[in-house]
Amino acid sequence: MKNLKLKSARAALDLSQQELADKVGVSRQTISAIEKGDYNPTINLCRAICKVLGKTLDELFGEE
Amino acid sequence: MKEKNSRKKVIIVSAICLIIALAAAVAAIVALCNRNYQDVVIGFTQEITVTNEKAEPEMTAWELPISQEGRYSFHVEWQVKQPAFVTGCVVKDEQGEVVFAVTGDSVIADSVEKRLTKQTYSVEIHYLASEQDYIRFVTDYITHDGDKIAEFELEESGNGGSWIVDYVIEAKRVTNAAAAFVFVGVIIGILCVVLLLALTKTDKGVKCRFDERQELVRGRGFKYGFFTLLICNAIGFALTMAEIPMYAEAEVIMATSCFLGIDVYAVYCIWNEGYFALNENRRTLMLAFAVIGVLNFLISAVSIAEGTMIQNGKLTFHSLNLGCGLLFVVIFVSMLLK
Repeated sequence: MKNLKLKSARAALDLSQQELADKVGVSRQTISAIEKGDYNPTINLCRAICKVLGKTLDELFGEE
Repeated sequence: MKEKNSRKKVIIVSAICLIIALAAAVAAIVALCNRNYQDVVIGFTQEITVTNEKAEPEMTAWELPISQEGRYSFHVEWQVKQPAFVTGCVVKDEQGEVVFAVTGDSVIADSVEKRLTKQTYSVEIHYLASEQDYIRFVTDYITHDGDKIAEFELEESGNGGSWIVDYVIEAKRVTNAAAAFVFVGVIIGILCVVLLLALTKTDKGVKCRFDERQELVRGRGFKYGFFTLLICNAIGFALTMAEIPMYAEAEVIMATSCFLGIDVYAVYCIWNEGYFALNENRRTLMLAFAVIGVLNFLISAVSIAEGTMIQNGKLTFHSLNLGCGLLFVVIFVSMLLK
């Protein structure tokens, strides 16, 4: 399932996928896969993304 | 940070020196093991008398003991002025199978490489004074069904005579230099890998950094590549056990299985964005792969020109460079397409 919350949170901070990937320490393709719903990140990666975007786990990865 | 980078450089240089030292040590050991081996030479002088198209003796036989299995090339040499006979030389193994055969009134020739096992081979020298004897010899030992038999031609010979001829039949071992070159090639390959690891990083480090998704992809890639290798080896094993004629030597079949496994792993990882590390310079790596592929193709072109790639209808180990070139080209093309 697509993660639109992540995409909108990233867009709100005017970050490209590459920029977010660099800040988190993963590849751009991983961020893209997470947003498309093709990959389920580990809890550590989720927390790292939340920290960069300034959101909580529930706000980005909670059920809609 | 500077100290860390210096330490890494020291480690890389040390690794390179260690590999070179190991290579030199192995080469020395191989040389020592082969030190006492010499090529096997049969040299003799024979008087042949021809009367009414009949040679005396009709045939002489010799033993050719091979004490070390390996690749050999036969060198045969005899010179006869105005003979009334043609000399036929045939080498057979202990089961009576013909390994090498040649005819000619005067001959200086080297055969293609042949794999000989540790046994005593027999060398028969036939003195063929009539066309019937010649055709029988050629039919028995040289030609296959449908081959055209060369004409029985002699220079001016008269009705007979007597000749004293020096014969040399030599089995020259050709493996040492070839094996050394293969070994040097492998060492150069290892050095290329070490240099690529050291020079293609964007953060001047050595270790590749992959994120968690890439590690998963690489794990799956390794699995598929491993099973490809297993299946190819199983097929090769089954064909060998079934005694189905193979068109490549054993080492070529084994290397092909490895190349296929590596290709499957690499293409899967490239296609699923798991091949390049986070701190890796993609362009440098792609360029390096293209160069390595082209260099291997050039080396294999030389092998094709020299006629060493295919011998006796089989691909020899000289074709490994072609396989290596194809391996890198497939990876490079996958990178381009992705």
